[in-house]
Amino acid sequence: MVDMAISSSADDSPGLTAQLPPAVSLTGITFAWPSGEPVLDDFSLELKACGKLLITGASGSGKSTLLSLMSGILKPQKGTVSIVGKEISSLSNFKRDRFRGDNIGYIFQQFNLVPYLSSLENVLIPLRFSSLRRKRVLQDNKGLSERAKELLERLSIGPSLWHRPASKLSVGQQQRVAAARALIGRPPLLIADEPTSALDKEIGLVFLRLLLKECEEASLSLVFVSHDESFASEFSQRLSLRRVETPLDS
Amino acid sequence: MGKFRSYLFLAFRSAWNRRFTLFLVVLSISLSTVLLVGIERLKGQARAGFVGAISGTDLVVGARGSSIQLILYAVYHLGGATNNMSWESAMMIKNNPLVSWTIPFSMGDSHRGYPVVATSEDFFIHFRYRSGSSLKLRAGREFSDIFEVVLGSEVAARLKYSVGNEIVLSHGATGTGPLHSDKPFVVVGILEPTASPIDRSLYINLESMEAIHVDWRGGAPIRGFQVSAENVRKFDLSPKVITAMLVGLENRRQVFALQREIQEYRGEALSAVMPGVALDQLWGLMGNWERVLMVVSLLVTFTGLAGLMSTILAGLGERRRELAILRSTGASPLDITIIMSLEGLMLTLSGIVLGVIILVGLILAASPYLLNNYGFYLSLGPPTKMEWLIMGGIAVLGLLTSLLPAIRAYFLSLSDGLAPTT
Ligand SMILES: Nc1ncnc2c1ncn2[C@@H]1O[C@H](COP(=O)(O)OP(=O)(O)O)[C@@H](O)[C@H]1O
Ligand SMILES: [Mg+2]
Repeated sequence: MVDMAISSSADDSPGLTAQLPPAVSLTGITFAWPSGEPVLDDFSLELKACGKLLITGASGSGKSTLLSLMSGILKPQKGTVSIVGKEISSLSNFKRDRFRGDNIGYIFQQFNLVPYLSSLENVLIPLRFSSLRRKRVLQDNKGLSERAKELLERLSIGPSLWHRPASKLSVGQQQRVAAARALIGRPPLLIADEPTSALDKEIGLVFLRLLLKECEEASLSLVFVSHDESFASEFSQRLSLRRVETPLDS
Repeated sequence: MGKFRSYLFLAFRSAWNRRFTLFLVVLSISLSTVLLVGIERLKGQARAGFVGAISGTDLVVGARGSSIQLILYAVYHLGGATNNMSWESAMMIKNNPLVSWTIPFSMGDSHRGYPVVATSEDFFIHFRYRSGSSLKLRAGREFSDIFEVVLGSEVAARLKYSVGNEIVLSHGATGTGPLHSDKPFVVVGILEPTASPIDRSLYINLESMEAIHVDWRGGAPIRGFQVSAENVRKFDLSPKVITAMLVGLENRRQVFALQREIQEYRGEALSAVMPGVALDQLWGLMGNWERVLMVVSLLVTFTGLAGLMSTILAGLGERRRELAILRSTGASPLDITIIMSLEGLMLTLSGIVLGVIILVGLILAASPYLLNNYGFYLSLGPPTKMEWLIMGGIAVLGLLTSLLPAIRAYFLSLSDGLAPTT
């Protein structure tokens, strides 16, 4: 069970985004691992379209579990999960997989890339599985790899790195390639699970700013997990998870 | 970026990344292919070759004895010599009203390891091989006199003989016997290739056979008695005995009647053998070996497939992270399963292709040896229906075998979710 503190910044102006369905809407979520360990109890959360949410909390506080619930990898025991207006908690496994592929870009702490594929090939992978994301790129009148190169360039991955195997990139470069891959095909929601934890603080901040800029540009919503509270000022909405002692612990 | 091409792309790149481990799997599948397809080809072509070499002949007649031995010796020049039959019996059969044509064969001499066959002009007229082809000369003409020889195509090619060359025959089939050097032959013709034992034989007329042996008795020259090549014409050179005779009928349905008539001939103990029946007997004898070979190659195949499965399964541990990454980029567990089975299929297909390449190499290398020692052509050429079936079977088994690791990957990626295990 967690204790939560949700805060929103005041300058949330009701603009065009107000008419769009919220990017994430969790209502009354209860989730416990099969081992019996409770993680969430009657938890609710809403992130509006184009919102930027920072989730902080100690290790083991349930941040990754929450992201898995948002992306439909896990199903809550109680409550509903809606992503960009679609209730995914009631979809079949197959449809949830499809929905995630079309609508959610994912970045992890590390090991994001298929090591033997080049940066460019890595960025293009989501387009192989999601025809919707492919269509969105083509709607922007872009060739697929043209768009991938553009994204890489914007994330400071120059042409000399495009054809290099991912395993031969630095960790910082790998994270930026992973970001480009999450962004390609404009999935409306981006989920990043501690993507800066493996980076130096400076480089981490640069990475976050690049990511925020791209989200802004493409009107995407971002859910960003970090244990670094100093990023808070960059986000419109913050959530801090704290692990509450359960009877088992005491 | 079609879906299927993406599956292929990802499966191929992943396999290529592990190519050194996977090469062994490919190699063992290629070994299975070489064995299974190779045995089938050997079997099929040996049979087709044997049958084809005598396709136009209804009966082979010789002195009474083993019918298999008679056929092997008379037609393929393999195995031990059979007894001779008399020329009178041969003429009696030739004049039988049921008989359309006959070709007498008289054997025993050789030239540098190649058998010398004495026959008549009827050989060129009536002999048919494979589906009714008749003999053609590539150069020169048929023999028309004694001391003239017509060469099979391979004899000419191997020994670099051409029309006009003089050659000397040696006594006995082994090529190590004493030479008939006092009576050289002149090459008058060279046959077109037939892909049959004919290519490895030399043909002379029956009178020549008599001529080189007038001053011989029991396998050796008669001491103190020598007849020169000029003087030999004064002797009676008409044939006295022959080794065997090929018989063609006016009407094939009367083959049993003629066979009975010949078997019951009182003047001499003769055998009349239907080539197809004798070859079936021969195949019956070889059937056990064939079965042993088949069992061995099936075992090799199953070992190869087990290797395929265990290699993919073992690699799965290392690939969990890779699969989780694909999942996080939008691949469903089903996509993962398809990619994994495609990998297995690709490995199997590469194994089959490699096997076929090895087999082609083996056939090219082995066919001269098989030809020289066993008298049949193992040829290249497109796979037969049965061979396609075998290769398809290996591919299907490979696909089925790789389904197990693929299904395991499915459940792994379900439970791993998107979290790359570190
Ligand atoms: N696959 C799992 N099975 C069982 N328990 C898990 C699993 N993953 C995480 N947990 C437990 O759930 C709790 C929250 O974990 P997690 O969401 O990974 O936290 P965080 O990401 O904040 O570090 C932890 O106590 C952890 O032990
Ligand atoms: Mg975590």
